[in-house]
Amino acid sequence: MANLLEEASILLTPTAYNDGKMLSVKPTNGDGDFIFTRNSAATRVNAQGLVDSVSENLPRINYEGGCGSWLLEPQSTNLYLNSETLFTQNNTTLASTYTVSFYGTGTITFSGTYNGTLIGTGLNNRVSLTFTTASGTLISTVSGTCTKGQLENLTYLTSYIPTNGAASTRLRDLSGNSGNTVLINSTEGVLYVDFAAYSTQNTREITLSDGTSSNRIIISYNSNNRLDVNLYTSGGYQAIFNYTGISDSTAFNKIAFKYKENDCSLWVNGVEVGVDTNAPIMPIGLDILNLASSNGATNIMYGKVNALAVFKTALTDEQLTALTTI
Amino acid sequence: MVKIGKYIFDSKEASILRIKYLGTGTDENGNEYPTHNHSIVHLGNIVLEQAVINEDGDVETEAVLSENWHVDVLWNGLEADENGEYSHPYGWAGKAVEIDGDGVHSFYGLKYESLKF
Repeated sequence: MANLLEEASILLTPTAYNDGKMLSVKPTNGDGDFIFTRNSAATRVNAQGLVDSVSENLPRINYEGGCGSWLLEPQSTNLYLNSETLFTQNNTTLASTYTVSFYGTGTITFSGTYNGTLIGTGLNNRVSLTFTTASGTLISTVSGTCTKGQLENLTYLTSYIPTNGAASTRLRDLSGNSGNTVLINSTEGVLYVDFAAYSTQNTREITLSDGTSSNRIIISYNSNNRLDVNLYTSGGYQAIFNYTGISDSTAFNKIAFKYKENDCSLWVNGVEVGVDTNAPIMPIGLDILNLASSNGATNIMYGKVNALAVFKTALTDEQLTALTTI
Repeated sequence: MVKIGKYIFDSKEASILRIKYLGTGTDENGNEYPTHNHSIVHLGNIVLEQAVINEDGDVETEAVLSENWHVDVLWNGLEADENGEYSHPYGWAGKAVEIDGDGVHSFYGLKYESLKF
């Protein structure tokens, strides 16, 4: 079977970008490019495995783990000061959840609002610990070499945010507004994504829409790690899939949704996990692909994206199996 | 044009109300979301005096916190007036403070000194 992705009308892979755009592999005329904004600088792990800085409004291809993927993150603040080479310090904490991370072979011993230790495993290894604190002062006692230290008021780890004498905030990544009516077929097609969500806490969406909530196709994870795929036409549901078989939404999963009159199906990691033969009315005017809800501003899909594709025809079962097999 | 402002409010609630006036929408699920492009960081009740830690590593005296609620804003897309000057959006100038250096917080890769009003 030929490479199916070559048949896509829109294909985004972690390949190329410029200031304010994630560039699609297909089409080549720019109509499938994703508008991108992030109003601050950020860091990523580059192809050599080193952490480097990326200027504001430049998308990031992150090579953590060896393979490149688009990195889309929420806003976060590093509360540690002078983070490059961490020293013992105190931070005021709320009764909340925090995540600490660092590179190196040293140890951070926590006392005050949380008691515990985080032990480093190597100069180029990043370790992290998520814990709940009381309100008060958290003491982080550093011994040995702890570099690129980070304390975030989040339940999960995000990319490194360098600090000097003040806490520092990396602002959120936001991308979308790809496509048009030539590239997106409203009456039949496939929406495919290979991605890992950032956390299991919030609803995260990928949408094909007409720019409103009336006509849209949504692939989303809800806050309970459930995969929800919905198709709306003129404001009403036509197809609904709620799949609970994904064990970890923060790992990479390959998901494809096929839509066609009375012929909708959901495929996950090589397996057809849902069929709906009672979807008689397809959406109208689909022309925007967002990594967020149809308004482009809420339910943002923070995570890592290996591939995102739109097909203008309903693929066969054999093709969908091949496309989504890990 | 990007500008950075630092603001002090009497309470968290007062800051949230002021932020809400910047513009909100409601999605199909009834959830409110901002319709502006500005980036807001709630610093909260910032530390005025650090906690005192004794020789055993225990907190002897807790940190002294500001009674006010502190907010940093990265304003995105403000337009200059006819004189080429930028102003705080309506209702924010009275809450603004100007400091030397970054204070307790910065936006990564951006200099407050060169982007302040």
